[in-house]
Amino acid sequence: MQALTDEERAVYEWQMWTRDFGEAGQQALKNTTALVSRVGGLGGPVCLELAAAGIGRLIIAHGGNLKPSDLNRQILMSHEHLGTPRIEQAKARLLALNPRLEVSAVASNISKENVDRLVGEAGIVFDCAPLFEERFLLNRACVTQRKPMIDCAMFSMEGQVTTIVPGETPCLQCIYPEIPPGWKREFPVFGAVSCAAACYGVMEGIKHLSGMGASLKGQMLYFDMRNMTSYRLPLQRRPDCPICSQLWKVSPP
Amino acid sequence: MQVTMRYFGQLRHLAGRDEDTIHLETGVTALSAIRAAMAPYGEAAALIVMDASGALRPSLMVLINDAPIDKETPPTLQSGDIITLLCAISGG
Repeated sequence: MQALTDEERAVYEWQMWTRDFGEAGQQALKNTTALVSRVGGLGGPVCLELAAAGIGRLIIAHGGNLKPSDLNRQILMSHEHLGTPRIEQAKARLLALNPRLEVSAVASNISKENVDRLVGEAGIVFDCAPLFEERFLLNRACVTQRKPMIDCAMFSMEGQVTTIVPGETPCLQCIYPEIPPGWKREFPVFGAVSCAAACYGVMEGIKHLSGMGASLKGQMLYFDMRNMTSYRLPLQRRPDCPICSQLWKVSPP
Repeated sequence: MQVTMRYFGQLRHLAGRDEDTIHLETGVTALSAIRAAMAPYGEAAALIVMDASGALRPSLMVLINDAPIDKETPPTLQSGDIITLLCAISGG
């Protein structure tokens, strides 16, 4: 495991003062590779906060060019780069914040073709995709490879976050066994709401990696910023889940 | 009797409110209560909640007093119950 440099100690000093985190927690972040699916309204702030916190390596995957309607929430982007690939802007912005960071930029979305390889390179996965097809691909690969996955979601003024640890918690398809009918690719969104869901997700990841605090394993945090309410909802595994039930036969809950 | 139906996700958007208070006959099941609650909110809400046969969808999470229920055998409700309906969202 790589030790912290003097420069890193200086940059991360204030967060290392956090109870139960310290230099050991910082070192755990430095030695972790995180895969983030998409760098948009959710994935962008996830990447930014992971970079700021000192994650060692980020794998980011997002295809396509920046559109005007992205700019209300995709905070890694800039107006001057409209029409150019999002992934290049994201990488440049992340390295400007943290030049010690290693960034592997994949100029396509998560797909059947790349998901197993990308999850295989990561120690933790942040699911921030707008489409359930992508989310289910990540979930399956994480379960198969026993990788933790932080699931972040948002809609309108609401957000949902949970931490999935294969063999310990329900997987995403225990929670949602089917692609929900009526979900549309375009949806109401404020950048501050997606950013809030992203920040909750990042802290779940940091806690999982460092062993600090109590996580959302087996629970979903739901919040509504319209009225500033939040709930922690218990999640149940499905004994007949086609994705993860095999794991439970090996290590029962 | 009276129960509270609480909506999360797209249902909250479609209903235009966080929750409804529903007045029901004693002995009604959660399924009947949910059908009654969805009636004013049109086809879009019904599509999220129920399949073509009228059964609760797998992608809908249903909790009664913060405990998940088995949707294949929806329990009988008690006065004062809070039924939470959470539909899947993804965002991005």
